[in-house]
Amino acid sequence: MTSFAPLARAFAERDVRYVLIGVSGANLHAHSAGVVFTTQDRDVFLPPDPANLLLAWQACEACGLTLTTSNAPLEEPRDLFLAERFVERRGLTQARDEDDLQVDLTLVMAGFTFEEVWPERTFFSIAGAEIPVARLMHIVASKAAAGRDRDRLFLATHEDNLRQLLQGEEPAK
Amino acid sequence: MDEVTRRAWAAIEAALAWKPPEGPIVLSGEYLRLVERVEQLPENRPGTDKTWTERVLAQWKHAVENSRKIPRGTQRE
Repeated sequence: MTSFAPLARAFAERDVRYVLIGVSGANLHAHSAGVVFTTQDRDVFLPPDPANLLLAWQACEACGLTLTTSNAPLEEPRDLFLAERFVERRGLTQARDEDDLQVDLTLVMAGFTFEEVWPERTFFSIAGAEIPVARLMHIVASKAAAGRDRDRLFLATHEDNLRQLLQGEEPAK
Repeated sequence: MDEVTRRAWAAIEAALAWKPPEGPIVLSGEYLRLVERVEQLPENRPGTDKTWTERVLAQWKHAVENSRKIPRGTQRE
């Protein structure tokens, strides 16, 4: 499985503002393999800032990822004008490599704005790369707000797993 | 119909009749407390190395890619 680390480094080199959300974000909060959920996607939440989105696209391209939107190649030129149009309509860009890394660059997180999530982010490390990750509380609340069947399934499974894993452990003082 | 088949059919019928719950998802107080506890675990201090989570996913992918269906009647006891 392709690591997210090279892209995280490319984001950091360009000062891209982002937080990892979704199941991939929740996985980084795992304290045991029992709460790691199988997923191929990395959900990258970006602020509605065209310049930042353009930098994120450039970081993906520098890592050799192919950019698509609505199952078609992202049009060119990939410039600030295009990024502004994307931000206006809160467009989703997908970045993939030839193996199995799939990154969703999203400008939307159900129930939250970027500026609500950003100050409370935390950092974890993957293969030496620092990854900004949304609070687990924000991730589960967003899934509840989204309310899709797959969110319901994730939340029910996650709750059950946490209950089993933390049963008998004393809460942190 | 033998008992095993009858129970299998009952399970299939129950699955077909199941309807996903509707309406907003409400997170229980207990779940939210568990999430807060997880956030405060030493394993989740900022900067913690979580490379192991990618290894878990890679192992899962390897297992799925290398799994194969065993023809009926050839399973080892």
